[in-house]
Amino acid sequence: MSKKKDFRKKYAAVGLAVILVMFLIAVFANFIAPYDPEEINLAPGARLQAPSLKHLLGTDDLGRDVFSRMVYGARISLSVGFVAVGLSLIIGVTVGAIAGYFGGWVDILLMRIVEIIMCFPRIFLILMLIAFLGPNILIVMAVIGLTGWTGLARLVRAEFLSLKERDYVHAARALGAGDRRIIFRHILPNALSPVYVSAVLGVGGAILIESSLSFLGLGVQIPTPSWGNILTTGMHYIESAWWLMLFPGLAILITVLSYNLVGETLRDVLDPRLKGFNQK
Amino acid sequence: MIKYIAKRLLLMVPMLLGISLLTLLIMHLSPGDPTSLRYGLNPEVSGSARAQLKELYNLDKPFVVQYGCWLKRVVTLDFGRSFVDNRPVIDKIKERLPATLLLQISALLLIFSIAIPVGVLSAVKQNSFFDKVTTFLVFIGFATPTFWLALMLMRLFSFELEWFPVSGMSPWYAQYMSLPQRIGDILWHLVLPLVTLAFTGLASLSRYVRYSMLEVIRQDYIRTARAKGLAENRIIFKHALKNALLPVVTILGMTLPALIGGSFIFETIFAWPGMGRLGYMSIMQYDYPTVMGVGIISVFLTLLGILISDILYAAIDPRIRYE
Amino acid sequence: MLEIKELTVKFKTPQGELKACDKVSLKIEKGKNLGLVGESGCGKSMTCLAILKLLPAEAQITWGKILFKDENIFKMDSKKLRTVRGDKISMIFQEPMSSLNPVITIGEQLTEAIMTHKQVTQSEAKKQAIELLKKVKIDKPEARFYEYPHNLSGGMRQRVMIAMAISLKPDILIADEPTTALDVTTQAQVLELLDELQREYNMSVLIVSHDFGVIARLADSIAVMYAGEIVEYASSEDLFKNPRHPYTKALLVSLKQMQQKKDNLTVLKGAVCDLTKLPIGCRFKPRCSEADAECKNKITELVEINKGHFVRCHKCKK
Repeated sequence: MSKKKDFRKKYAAVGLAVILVMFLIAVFANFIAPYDPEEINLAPGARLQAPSLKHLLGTDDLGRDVFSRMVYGARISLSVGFVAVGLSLIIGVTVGAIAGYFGGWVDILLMRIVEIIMCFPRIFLILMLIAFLGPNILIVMAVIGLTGWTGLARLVRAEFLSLKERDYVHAARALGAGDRRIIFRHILPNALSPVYVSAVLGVGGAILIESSLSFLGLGVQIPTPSWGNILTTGMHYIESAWWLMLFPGLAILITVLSYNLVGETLRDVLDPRLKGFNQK
Repeated sequence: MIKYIAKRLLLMVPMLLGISLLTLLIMHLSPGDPTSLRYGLNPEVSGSARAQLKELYNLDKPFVVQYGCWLKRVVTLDFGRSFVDNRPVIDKIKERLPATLLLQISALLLIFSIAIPVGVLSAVKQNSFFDKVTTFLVFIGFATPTFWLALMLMRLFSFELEWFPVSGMSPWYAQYMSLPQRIGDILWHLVLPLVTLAFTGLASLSRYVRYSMLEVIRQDYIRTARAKGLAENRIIFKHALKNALLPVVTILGMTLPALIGGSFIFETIFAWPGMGRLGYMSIMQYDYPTVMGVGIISVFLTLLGILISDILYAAIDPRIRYE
Repeated sequence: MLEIKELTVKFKTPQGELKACDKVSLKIEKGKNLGLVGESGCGKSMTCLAILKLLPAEAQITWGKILFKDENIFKMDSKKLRTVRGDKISMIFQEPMSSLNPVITIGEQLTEAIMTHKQVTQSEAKKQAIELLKKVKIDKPEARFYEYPHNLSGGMRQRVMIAMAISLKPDILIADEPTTALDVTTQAQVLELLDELQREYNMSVLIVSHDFGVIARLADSIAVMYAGEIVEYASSEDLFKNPRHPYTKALLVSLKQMQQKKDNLTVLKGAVCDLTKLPIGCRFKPRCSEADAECKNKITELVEINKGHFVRCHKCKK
């Protein structure tokens, strides 16, 4: 049992390390990238070069260095991930807290709204919003955030429903604490476990969605590099330029995997209920 | 049972109202007037289209009137005419729907027929080698960008091995084939999009089955079944699985939005002539009536899926059936 | 017929390993009923579950054996074990609400038990099942046969459980807190039913309860368990007349007070000692009114102080 847990922790540590490395790459992109990621080189032989020492991950159809584009792409992916999740957290926690704490028709109304939003295929809702608002990085961040809070709101609501009946909450109320104080000082700090877990898992999810959008040409717009739009080029040269396809995909996979590993381990640690220990 | 279904259907009415309200609000989300938004950038939408849009959604009338008219359109499935070819949107969707349904339904069947045995087996043999391998694969599955997987499959199976066609569903030469040949050809074209689409739901569903099964296995009635001396197979497949499937059935409703969402991407990649590709194309062409039409139909499909999963739930659980 | 020898069960918890049963030895003879009494968490249920090897995954049998007709149950392969379960030894549980499968009809749950062990046709099994439902005094058995557990009250479900348990006329019926979850009137009816059936089938019943009142109705001999150990064992008559262990005495005093409906019960102070950190000496010492300094470190053994009367207390002499 404990051996298995250590194993798990080891995976989580690897995940954490990857996240940290990606973070450093994103912050220091301009020092790490050997070339200007947007510098086009159409000289003969400069386009679609296979990986070499000069261009570690090759060049794309406009002769741009793929490694540099990927390094800058990390910056884009991470910022989209964090901003979008931040937005989701604010909305999700607020809605969940209000619904769970006040109950009654407020709860019914808010949860109906959540259900309605959940009926939409999220990717289509995002595409639709982008179609109306126009693709740019801020809109992409906002739209991913705006469509990603429903699950969290449900979790927070459930926590609030059970926590608000606890003795210490009743005691606080008896002492004359107002709703806002009870929500923020007494209940919320105890309802944060699912929030942490969703936040970590959410970053991975947001990165996946951003890359899909950029791949479809509705996310980060060229010439700004992102893992997703490098893959778009990769699709055009699917038969010839394998490096345009392999590396961005792997980068997404590994990054998202790391967030998931950390998130799942966090869940195990924070939420022993889900471990399913059966005491008899 | 009939009462139960009627109740479920009735619950969909407020959902429908909310959905039409939300979609109308999305139209209004665009800065200023939705009709004046992006024309500067998009030459395809002419001045007359602007007038069409205004008329179609009654955008010059008060909001209540707009909502009333829009609701009527949603209920009668009248989404107006496409900006691109001036054909009724519903006709365009109708001709695309069969391909999408073929893809969606076969993906659902594939997902369930793989996820249930895998989930059950890894729960029954918890911590075994099989369980560990599937856990690993599930983690990879959660993290894989599926559009990338689509590209990799296409490169490997279409270009390198040349086992499956690159894209499309029914090529021009299909008209010269006999019916069985044509069906075979469509199925042959279906393989790659199907595998990719099924992949989206597989990881989460098999995990869910495993979790649900682990929960059920520790229930008192499973101990009772053991105490009766039943064979292990009967305990797992008769006593445990039926109970474990209850929460899994509700997941069906939740899986659908993800699947339909996935089809927007995969139909585009594999040039599958379905509704998802139509939706994507209309977004790229700022064909708003079609975008709204595809959106509403997708949500209808989801609601239908939820209804089906509710009915399935009732069919398995006697506590609901005889409510 | 059934002999438990030095059964030791360890249990993994987040707080560490605990000994749920510590060298528990018991004997069940043909046609005789054994009562097992003790507070919740003292290891009674673990002992019962161990008999049919139904312990939860967290529990592990680390020592001892259980002989059924001279054959060690722990050494049986799963096929052989299945022929014992339900057929030779059957069991009813504390929670009738959760012990029946909610999505399978009462009838099918009954007939599958019969058909697993006997070569009978579906219709024959059905006939027997309805007979059994009648026997456990369920009204309209033909209709109940097709119903699901959620249509039945707790008492009715426990009757169904009993019907299932006696369906193959077992040698031994283990009843683990069979009446705890039921209201008082239903309790009495279920106990009466068990008493009747025991006589009719000449079974042995191992009845387990935290309540001496329940045990007293059925048991021929009684074992008292505390913190994973048997602390006293005697015939019912002996035990009620002449209880020796301070814990048994305390239990009997509280039973008497309950029966006289006294308002201020003498409550046994404190809780069962931490099973993850067992003391060297007597486990009951912290709560014992008769304890002295010697009790703390002296290892206590189960000693026969009269013929057939065993006590684990160094202050009880022959």
